[in-house]
Amino acid sequence: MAQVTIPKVEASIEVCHSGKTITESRQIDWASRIGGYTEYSAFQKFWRRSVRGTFNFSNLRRILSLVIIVFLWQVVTAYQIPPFTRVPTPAEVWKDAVAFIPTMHCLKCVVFSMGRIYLGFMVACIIGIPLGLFMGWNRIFKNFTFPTFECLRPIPVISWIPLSVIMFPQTEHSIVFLVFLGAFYPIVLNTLLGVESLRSDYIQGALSLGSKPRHIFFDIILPGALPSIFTGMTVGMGLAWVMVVAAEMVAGGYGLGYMTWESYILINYPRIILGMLIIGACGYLSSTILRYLATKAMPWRSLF
Amino acid sequence: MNLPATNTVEGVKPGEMEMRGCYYSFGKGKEVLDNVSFKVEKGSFTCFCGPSGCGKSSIINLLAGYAVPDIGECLIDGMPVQGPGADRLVVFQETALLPWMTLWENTLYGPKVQGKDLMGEVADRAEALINMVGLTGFEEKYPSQLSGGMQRRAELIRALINQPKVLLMDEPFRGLDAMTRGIMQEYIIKLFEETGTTILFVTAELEEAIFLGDVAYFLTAGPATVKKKLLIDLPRPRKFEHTTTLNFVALQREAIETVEEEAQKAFSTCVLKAK
Repeated sequence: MAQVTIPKVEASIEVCHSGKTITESRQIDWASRIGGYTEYSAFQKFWRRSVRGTFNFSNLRRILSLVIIVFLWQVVTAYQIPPFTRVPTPAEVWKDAVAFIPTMHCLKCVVFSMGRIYLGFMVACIIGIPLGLFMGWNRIFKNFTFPTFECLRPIPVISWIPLSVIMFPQTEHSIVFLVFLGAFYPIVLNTLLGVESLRSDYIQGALSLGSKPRHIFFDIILPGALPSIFTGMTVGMGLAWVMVVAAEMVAGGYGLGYMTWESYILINYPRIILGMLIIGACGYLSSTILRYLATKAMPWRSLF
Repeated sequence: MNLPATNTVEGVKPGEMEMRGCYYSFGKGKEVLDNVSFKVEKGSFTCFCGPSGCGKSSIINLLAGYAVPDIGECLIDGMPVQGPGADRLVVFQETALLPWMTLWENTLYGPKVQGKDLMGEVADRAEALINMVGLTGFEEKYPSQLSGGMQRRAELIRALINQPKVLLMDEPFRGLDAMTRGIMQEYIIKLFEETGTTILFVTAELEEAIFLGDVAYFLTAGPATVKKKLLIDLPRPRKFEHTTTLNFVALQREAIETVEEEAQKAFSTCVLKAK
């Protein structure tokens, strides 16, 4: 590593005070202040930036933790320690994954579940976000809607399954309805919270500038509530997955939840675990998409 | 620091404001204002000083039209205040720039919602104002990308572009460091002396009030009422040099004596309540 000496820099400082400008110049010996400056070779730079950046100790420990979990899984299943006596080993699951994932059946299951999620979640957003915004914006509207909402909300969404099967003659519709319900409550509630926690200065200032109600709604309330709306959507997405799996297990007909339940009936135990893992991966994918949309929708929040 | 002369209130006459016997309370009978009367003359710089929590901000809220007094009336140019309006704009304690709009969008927000043509004259004026407060080049930045002092200046021009008759400033320099505060004071003085807009300025700092204002009102500890009206006969244009003149020091002494008593009272009632 070569020591590089930095030439002394002529620094000029402008001091503004009562309209006068004083220009002060002096020599600053930066090199001695920071105790020298080290220059790295191209290889060192590459090593520090990429290799050590990716495989640093923190990341190595993270990977190690996952390896340990899989190892423990292997140990408890191989030695059949209760309650893991009938749980398949990682190797069995891996073998099944290699065989199952490239098939059309797997793709069909994923597409069906994803499609149901997409439909139900979309409807929940289209109804839930405006509902939450209006509730927060207009007191009279809130007076009329909030009590009903609060009465229905404590009912666990799972308990809607029988009713929804009665309500909708087609299974597909009832599954989408259940997904919608799961996502609906957190979206409405968080949107409402976002509107209500908006600083009153923003609205007062906008009113002073001559805003009409529609300006307040579209320029202040909607963008101001966006962070909370996305929080609600993230929570809602989690519940949507809970609902799609539960509904598919009960109502059946393709989908990841149905596939997992079917594997239990057919005594294909490795596939149960595989189904769980695929559901987890799909859930992770959908929240990643949401996070990406959030950064695109709120450019002022991801600046630093 | 040379500010280009921009005639921001061309054709708009500065307004006058008046408060007549106002009583105001919020919550469960917490009295904030107790018979407050004053008149802010056309084109004057009027400061309001008082111990913290005495109801200075309430005066702003009433005049801006965000709140209604229990008894008494607020007048602007002799007409009663009816709700918020773009003729009297508020510069808030905390920055109220909209975080989701760039500096340029924030500046043009008033003209936009008033349905004005955003091209041509308004855009020129916005550009001149941004240049005046030294924010040229930052138009596409979001408020969170600006420093505290820059945000205050941005807020100032967001109000000024609407050519208000009156500027209501609610401790606009609170939380700024001494250096930035000094620069901001110079800006506001220059602005006032160039444009002649009526300014109502609330502050907790006595020196600031005397340095900036033509008139300073001192309020009692809450519930607030006007304790003293101090005429500040320092020459304009104001310079920092004036802060060391005998006249300034005499005014300062008078102000300190007035406020000291109230501050003690406010403090002791706080302590009693805490016990």
